[in-house]
Amino acid sequence: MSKEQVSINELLLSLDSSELQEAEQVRAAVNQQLSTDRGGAVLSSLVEHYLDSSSPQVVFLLSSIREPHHKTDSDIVVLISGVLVLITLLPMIPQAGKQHIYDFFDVFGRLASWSFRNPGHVPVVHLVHLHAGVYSLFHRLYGMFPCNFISYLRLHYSMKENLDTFQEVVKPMLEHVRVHPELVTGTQDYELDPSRWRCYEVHDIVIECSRVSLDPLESSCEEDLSSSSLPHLELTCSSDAPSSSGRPAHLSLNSSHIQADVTWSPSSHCGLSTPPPEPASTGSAPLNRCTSISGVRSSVSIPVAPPPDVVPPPDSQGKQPIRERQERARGDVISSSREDVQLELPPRSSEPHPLTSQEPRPLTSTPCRDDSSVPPPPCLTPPHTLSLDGLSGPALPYDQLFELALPRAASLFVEKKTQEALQRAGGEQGGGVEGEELVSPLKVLDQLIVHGHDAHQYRSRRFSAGSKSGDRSLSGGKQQSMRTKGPAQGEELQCVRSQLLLVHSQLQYERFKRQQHAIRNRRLLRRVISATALEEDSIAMRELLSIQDDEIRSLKTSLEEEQRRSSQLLMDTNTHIQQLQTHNTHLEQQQQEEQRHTQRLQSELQECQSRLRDMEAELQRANNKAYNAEHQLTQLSLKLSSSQQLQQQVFLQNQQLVLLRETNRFLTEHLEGGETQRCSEASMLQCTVGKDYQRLKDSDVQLRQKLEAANHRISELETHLSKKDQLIQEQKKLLQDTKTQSRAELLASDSRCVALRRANQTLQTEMLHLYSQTHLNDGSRPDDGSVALPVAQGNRPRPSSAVGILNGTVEALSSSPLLPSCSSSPIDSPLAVGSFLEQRARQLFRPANQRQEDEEPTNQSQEEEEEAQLGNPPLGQEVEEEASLLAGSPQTEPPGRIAAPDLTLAVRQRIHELSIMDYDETLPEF
Amino acid sequence: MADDPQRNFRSAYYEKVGFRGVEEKKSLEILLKDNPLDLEKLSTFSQRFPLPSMYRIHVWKVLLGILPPHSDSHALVGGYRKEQYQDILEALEVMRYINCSTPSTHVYLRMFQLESQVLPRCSETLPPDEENEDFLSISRAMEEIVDDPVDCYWLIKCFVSQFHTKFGDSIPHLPKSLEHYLSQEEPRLLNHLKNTGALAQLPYSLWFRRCFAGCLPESSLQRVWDKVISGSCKILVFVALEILLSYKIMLMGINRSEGVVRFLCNIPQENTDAIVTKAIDLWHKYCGTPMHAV
Repeated sequence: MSKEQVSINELLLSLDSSELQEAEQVRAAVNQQLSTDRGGAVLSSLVEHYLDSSSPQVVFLLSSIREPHHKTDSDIVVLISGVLVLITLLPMIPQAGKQHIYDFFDVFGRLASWSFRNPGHVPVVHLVHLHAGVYSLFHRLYGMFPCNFISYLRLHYSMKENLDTFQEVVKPMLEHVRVHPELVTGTQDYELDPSRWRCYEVHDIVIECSRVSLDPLESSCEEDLSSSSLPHLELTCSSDAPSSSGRPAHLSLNSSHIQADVTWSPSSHCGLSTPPPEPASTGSAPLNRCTSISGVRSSVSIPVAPPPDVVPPPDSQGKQPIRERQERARGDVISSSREDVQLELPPRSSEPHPLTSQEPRPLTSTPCRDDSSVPPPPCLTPPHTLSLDGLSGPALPYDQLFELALPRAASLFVEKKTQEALQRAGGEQGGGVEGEELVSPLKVLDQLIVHGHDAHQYRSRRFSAGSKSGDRSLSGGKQQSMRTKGPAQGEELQCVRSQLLLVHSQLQYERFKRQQHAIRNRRLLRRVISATALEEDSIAMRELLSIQDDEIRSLKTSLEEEQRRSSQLLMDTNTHIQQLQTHNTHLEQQQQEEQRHTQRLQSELQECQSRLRDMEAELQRANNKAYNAEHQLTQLSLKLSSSQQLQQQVFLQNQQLVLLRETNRFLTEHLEGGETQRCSEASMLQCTVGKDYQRLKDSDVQLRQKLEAANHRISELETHLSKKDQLIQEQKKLLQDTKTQSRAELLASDSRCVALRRANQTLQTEMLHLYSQTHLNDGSRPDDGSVALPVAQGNRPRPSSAVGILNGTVEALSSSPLLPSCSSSPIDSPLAVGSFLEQRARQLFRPANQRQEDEEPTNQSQEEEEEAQLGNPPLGQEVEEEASLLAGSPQTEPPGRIAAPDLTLAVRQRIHELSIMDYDETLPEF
Repeated sequence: MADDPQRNFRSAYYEKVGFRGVEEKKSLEILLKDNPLDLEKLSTFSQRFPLPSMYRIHVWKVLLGILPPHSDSHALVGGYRKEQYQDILEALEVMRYINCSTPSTHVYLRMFQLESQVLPRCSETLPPDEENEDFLSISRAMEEIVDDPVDCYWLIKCFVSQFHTKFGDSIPHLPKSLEHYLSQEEPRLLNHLKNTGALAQLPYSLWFRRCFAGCLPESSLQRVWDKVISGSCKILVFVALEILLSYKIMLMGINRSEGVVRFLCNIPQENTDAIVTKAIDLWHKYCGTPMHAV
């Protein structure tokens, strides 16, 4: 086995190797070992390995394990812990119900029959545990799947062979539950629907299950408090307190109940063959058990519970000793250990001790609450106050927090709760008395453990007193067991151990329940806090509302006041308006009268005015008449005076006329003599004068016309002149233009000429060179002229432009056979420069016959050229400069420039000399 | 000129928005319509703006005096020029200085030598000296620019003559001037050149005697020559300066003076247009834009 284990461990270590093939091999090997495994060693080592390494490979292996390894253990400890685990898990995996519900039901059915028939012959003490487990499973299944469960029960227990189980086990359980509402509203399918559990948490399901329970140990008071509203609380109180029986009655009922219980208790079947486990050996276990025992609801039944535990089972084997022991123990406890126990456990003031039930103060949780003055939260199941000493961790904080958070609500609630608790203390005792016909298996278990604890304590104390042994717990247990069952010591030890395990698993289960409740409590507390906050808020709002109401009321009264005042003011105004109106009408009447009066007066006035106007017109007319008359009168007087004057004049003129007639007659007589002469002379003179005048006038006109014409002519001429000037200007400009143009052209042609000349010179040089070569080659002429000539030609300074023009002649001359002799002549070197002198020299030294023919035309042109050149030296100079610029070779310039003036000077001098010498010919122009 | 109705009214704004040369052709055409041509205006125009290529040769000829200012006599003078060219050419052919296979640049050189009376004897022809080499490279460049051989010869001849006459005195001072401007633009490069001893050995004859002929491609070169022909030799300094600035990084990397000279004698031909443009801008910046124009 150990070898195998070693190998499997090695295998498992190599299972997680990184190589896939190796891992695969190992897995196959493990699988093989698993298939051959009998004792489950491989499996357990697998599990251990997984716990150590949490390797995914192992998980895979574990999940692939098949049927043969599902254990069918009949070990009671395993069974019970399995049941408890199942109960614990069920609310956590409600969805799994769909697949496994019938497995769960089967488990229940099997366990029920098992606990009834006890095929494994397990100790009765264990059966109590088992029974309690089955009981809890029953509650859980019924709470979660009522329809399915009921149908299962109906199906399963309708069979004959199961009938007794039903009678003995299931039926009493059924009496502890009320009708589940789902039985009315739900169906089997709906129950299995996973969506049903979606909005439930674990503790919700737990509470849901405990809600349908009638067993005060299992159920919860919460259904009444779920909404944490106070009216409900009161209702609960009232319903919980149907009667108020006194304590004596309670005690008496206790005793009667003992007998009734004996008939059905599971322990009655098997008997209490072994003493209860020692609480001291497991430490916290008994305490925990105590707390759970001393749960709120259980308190009532505690005083009643011991008898069923203690009652000797029908089994005759262990009956007598136990009974003796119990009796003894009881007596001991009652007689001697009462004060001890009390003293021994002072902090657990409320611990329900079965033997203190006879005390005047009942050991329910209710008085405890009074004592502890810490108000319990409304919805609490077991662990709150009583677990203070045992497991104070999670339960403690929110009691005080509650008070701190909601002082007012808390105090109110405490009051209410105290009252209610007082009521219930009485009521529940009564109720408990009434409900004692059916004893819960849990209660039985409680009693078993509590009794075992007490007994152990008593025993151990006695033992320690007797033997003075230091080892209290173990030897006490041993002593006890030795005393009761000497021969079967090992067996008993085993039994005690398994019991211990059972109690431990029970403890785990209770712990789970407590945690669920704690979660729930926290939630509910939060809800209470928020509700109270809301309530306070609403109260504050209500106060605000009342204040605002008051305000509105006062505003209303002031409004009324204002309205009254305004109506009065309105009335006053109306009367005043009426007064004013009457006054107004009166005034209007007066005004109308006045108006009428005024109109009348005005019409009168108008009449008067028109009359006045008439009168005035009449007056005017009369005045006119008067003026007319006056005027006529003055006219008449004037006429009169004038006529008088006229008469005088007429008289005078008549006199004059007479006188004039007389003179006229005399004068005509006098004139008739020398009148004719004078008349002709004057007329002639007049005639001439007139003619003269006419003539002068004509001439004047003529002169004026001439002047005008002359003026016109002048202006015409002036414009003509200006035009001419302009024209001249233009002409000048044009001339200038043309001059520059022609100069430019001339320049171009000049440059061309220069270029040509250069080319010619070069050609000449070339030619001369060639000639010299040919001469050299011939060798016929030995004189130095041929040698000197090229040198002279090569070094020759710049000739004047005339040379270029006359090149043809020069060439012709130079090609003549005379040239060598000429060049050798004394005047050769100076004359070689100037063409004129050269020619002149040639002419001079030429034979006479030849001279005449050649000379005339050449000379003529020569002269002209010479003149032109002499007359236009600046132009030549310019050209020279231009050429030198274009040539750009400065070293050739100076000789040319210097040569030109030298040359002209020399030429002139030479010409002068020659002209003197030239006596046989007429001098040229100069 | 602004109120000339023929001109585009937008012309005043082209320059403002950065278009250059839109109106230049038109202005040049207006200038060329004048009779006689105003040489001063033409040269100012040429200094300020790049010449349109279709008028370049004409303007050069006018500026170099190959054609007179009077357009009436252009035909006549052109005829003279041509005849002169042919006369000299024939003379040279007769003298067997040249034949059909002589490269045209050598023909030009001989002709030029003949005209300036420095033609060596046929028998004693020497290898071309420095001056002749300058002439040859200028004529090579000109040959690329001008198609007609007559024009080409005349342009070469007049360009060389004018360059020597006008700028012969100032050419020796140009290296100093280059150093001055380089010290203003990029003293580090100047220091580098001084330190490596390359400053004294820069290809000054290539730059200032041949006017970048053989150094820049003809398309860029003719824009430089525009300025030279129109009377500025300063532009040569700025082109050289701009070449130095453009290849500053490379020059800074060369530590041996021979390397610097070798590089500068064979600069890459890619972005010479940009170099010339920048050089002209730089020239305008330092010497100012010639004002009285157009």
